Amino acid sequence: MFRAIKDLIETLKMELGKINVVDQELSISTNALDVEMPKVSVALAEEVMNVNVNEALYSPAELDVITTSFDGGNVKVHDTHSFSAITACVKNVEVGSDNVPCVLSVEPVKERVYTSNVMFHTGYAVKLFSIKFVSPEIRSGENIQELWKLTMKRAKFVEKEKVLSALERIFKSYSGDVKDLRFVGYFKNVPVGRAEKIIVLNEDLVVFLKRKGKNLKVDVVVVKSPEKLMIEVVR
Amino acid sequence: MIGYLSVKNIGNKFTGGLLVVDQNGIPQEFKYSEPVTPTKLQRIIYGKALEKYLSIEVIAKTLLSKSETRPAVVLTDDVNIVEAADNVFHISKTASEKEGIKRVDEGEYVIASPGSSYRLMGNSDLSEDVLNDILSLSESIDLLEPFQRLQKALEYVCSEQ
Repeated sequence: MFRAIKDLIETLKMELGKINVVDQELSISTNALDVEMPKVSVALAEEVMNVNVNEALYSPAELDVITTSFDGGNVKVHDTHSFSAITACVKNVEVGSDNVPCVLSVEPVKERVYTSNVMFHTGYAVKLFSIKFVSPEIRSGENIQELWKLTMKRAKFVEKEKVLSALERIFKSYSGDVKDLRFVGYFKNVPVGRAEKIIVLNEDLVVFLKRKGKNLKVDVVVVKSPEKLMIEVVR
Repeated sequence: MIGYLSVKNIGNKFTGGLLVVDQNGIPQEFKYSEPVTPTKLQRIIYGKALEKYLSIEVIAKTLLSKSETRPAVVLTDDVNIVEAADNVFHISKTASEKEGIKRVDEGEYVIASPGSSYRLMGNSDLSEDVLNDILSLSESIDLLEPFQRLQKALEYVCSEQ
């Protein structure tokens, strides 16, 4: 637009010759409208924050804590993927190993938080909240059944003579066709004195342990017949 | 006796267990922590340090302090948990080595029994007696097997909550 006006004046100057034209910069003033951004008041009581602020603004996996700002009395929690941030006044910090805050009580500072084109006011409710983890209850669980299933792998190194001798005894005692027998493995130090039940699962020997029993361990050869599991002690 | 310490995040619940076994792998003690579910605010404030902090400071140290049998050595499957105490050692399988006990560095050993070799890493040295106990157990069972029991027990604990 400026260009067009200047060109027009130059043309007139050339055509009229004697007209004195004051070379003047043209300016256009614009009264920009103050657009009020939508406001959402967020009370920073912990329960409100969990529902409104966190879910709206933050994805915890993408957040990081600027730990260096603890000393200054402020902690800033930043979402590195947007402009959103919370500033809170630290009331109490105890730093544990690796400078990790183990006790941190914070109070939100009154300020605005921007994210995208939505503005949030924080700090209307000045309520202290703590992020301290309470030590969990410790319980005894010796009765949990899963603890009493000992899974044993086959021994990788075998004492050949002893194993063959044990197999021979199994074959002699078996009344059916020995072709139906399948060698499972040689297992060392099986706690038979504490065994309530023994099964084969995925080539492993699973020993269901009794709570009490004799402290007796043996090396065994395990063979499976169509009818049952045959376990022979290696002598 | 040898302890096994593990902390797991099961369905956003953090829980830990300490299983102490005898020389045959038979349980002598089992302690577990009630599952801890961090709030969203805690997740934000602790950031990436949350898991490590919960594992070491909140769960592992509490479990160790409540142990009645006080095992001389505690094995863990999480290298971070080594920080919980001087007698906690991370254990992993390693390439086969000559049978026996080999000190690699301060607080680092390779224990090899027929067919299996393990690397132990901790913050201090272990006594000869303790190393021999571990070697002896490795001749009876797979030294990592109790972690499977721990995992199943902790899953059971979480499912019951």
